[in-house]
Amino acid sequence: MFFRRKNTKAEFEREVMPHLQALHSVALRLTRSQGDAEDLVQDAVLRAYRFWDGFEAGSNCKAWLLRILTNVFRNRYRERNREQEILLEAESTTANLGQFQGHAMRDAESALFGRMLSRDVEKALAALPDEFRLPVVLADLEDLSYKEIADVMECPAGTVMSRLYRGRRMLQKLLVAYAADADAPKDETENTKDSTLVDLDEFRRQKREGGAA
Amino acid sequence: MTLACDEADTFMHAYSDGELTGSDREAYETHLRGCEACAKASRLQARFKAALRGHLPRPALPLGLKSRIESALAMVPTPKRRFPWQAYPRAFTVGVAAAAAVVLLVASPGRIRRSPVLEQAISTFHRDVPLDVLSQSCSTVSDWFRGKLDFSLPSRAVPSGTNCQGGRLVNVRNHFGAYVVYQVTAGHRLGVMVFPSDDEPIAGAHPRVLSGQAVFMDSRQGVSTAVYRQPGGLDYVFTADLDEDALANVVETAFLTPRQAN
Repeated sequence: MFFRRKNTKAEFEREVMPHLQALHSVALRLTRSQGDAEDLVQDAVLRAYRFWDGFEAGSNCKAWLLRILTNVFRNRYRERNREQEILLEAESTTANLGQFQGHAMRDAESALFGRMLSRDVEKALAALPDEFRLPVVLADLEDLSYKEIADVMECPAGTVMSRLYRGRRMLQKLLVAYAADADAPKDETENTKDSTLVDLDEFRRQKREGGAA
Repeated sequence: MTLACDEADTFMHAYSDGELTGSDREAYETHLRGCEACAKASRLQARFKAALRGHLPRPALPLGLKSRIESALAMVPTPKRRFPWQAYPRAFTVGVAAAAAVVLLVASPGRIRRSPVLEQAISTFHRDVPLDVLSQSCSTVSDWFRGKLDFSLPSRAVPSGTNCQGGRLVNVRNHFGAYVVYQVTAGHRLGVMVFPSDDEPIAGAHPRVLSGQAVFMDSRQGVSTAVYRQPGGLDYVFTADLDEDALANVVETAFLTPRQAN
C-alpha cells in the first residue's frame, strides 16, 4: 500500500483513545513510576500509530495495544531493573510453591483476607518479576482472557496459566509475610540478633585491632 | 471423570478466571461438591481475585495525558508514500542511488545540515554514552540486540573482523535503533547507529559513491559522519573522530564491501 487513507489518524484516535486508561493502568503496574508510565503510554500510542496499517480492523484493539506497550516496556525500561529482577526471580523460585500446597497453608491465606492492606498489596505486586506480574495484572485487574493475555505476552496459553498460577502464589506468599511482619511484637524483633548483621561496637573494635596490627 | 485433589488444584485458577469449560468444568464442580478442602480453596481463590481488584482499583488517567498524546500525534506526519527503494529494492540500481544523491544535494542543502538524526548521532558520539552490552566479540554484541529491535540487525552492521567495543539501544525518531561502538586505528572511535528508514531524506553535504552505494558524508564539531540508506529500509549513520577520507575508507572497506564467501 503506497498511500494511507486520509482519515487514518481520526480512525486511529477513535479506536485507540478509549483504551488509554487501561494502557495507563498497565503501564503504571509495569514501570512502578507515574512519569515513566505516562512516557510509556505515549511511546506505545505513537508506535501503534506507525503500525496502524498492520492492525486488522475488527480484531482486538486493546490486546494489540497492550502488546505494543509491553514490547516498548521490555525494550526500553527492563534493562534498568534487570539485576533486581534476577534476584527476585531467584528468591521466588527457591521459595517456590511448596509452602502453599496442602490445606494447612490455606488457613493462613484465609486469615489473610481480613487484614490485607492496599499498601501491602501494591508493594507485593510491585515486587513480582515482570513475567509474573504482567499476567496477574492482565487477568485480575484488567479482566483479559487467557487467549488475550497470550496475545499480549506473545506466548502459548499454557505459559500464561503457569505464570499466572505462580505469580498469584508469590503474591500470596509476600502478603502472608507482610502480615506476619506486622504481627511480630516490636521488642522481640529488636532483641533477635541476626547473625548476618555486624554489631557496630564489635565492628569498631575489630577495625581498631585490624588497624593496629 | 473423577478428579484427585492435586488435579483439582490445577483447575482452580482457570475456574476462578472463568476459563474452565465443558467436561473439565463439570468434573471440577463435581469434585468440589465432594471435597470440602478443595471447595474451600476454590472459594479462597475467588476471594483473593476479588480482593486484589478491590485493593488495586484502576488509577485515574492523569490530567493532560490524553491531550499530550493528541498533540504528539498531531506532530507525527502522516506517512504519504514509501521511497521507491523501499518498494522496489531490487530495481534500485547503484546509478539511480548516485543520481538521487546529487539531486538531494542540489535540492535541499539547507535542510541537510539541520538533520536531527545527524545531531543525535554526533551528540551520542560526543557524550560517549554508557553501553548496554560491552564485548569485543561482534557476535555477542549482535546477539544482544536480538529480540530488542523491530528489525534484525544485518551482519553488515556488525561485520566480523572489526574491533567491537559494545552497543546500546537508541531511540531514533521514535524507532528503536542499534548503536554499536568500534575501536578503529590509533585510539579512534567509530559509532554506528542503525535504525529503520523514515520519510526523512538522508543527510550529509558531501555525497560519495562507496562500493557502488550512495553515502552522504559531512564533518563538523571535530567528527565526520557518513549516512547510508540500505535498500529495504535501514539507515546507517557512522560517526567517527576521523577526517572524511579516513571515515569513507573505513565505511567502504569494513561495512559496504561485500564479504567474500569462504
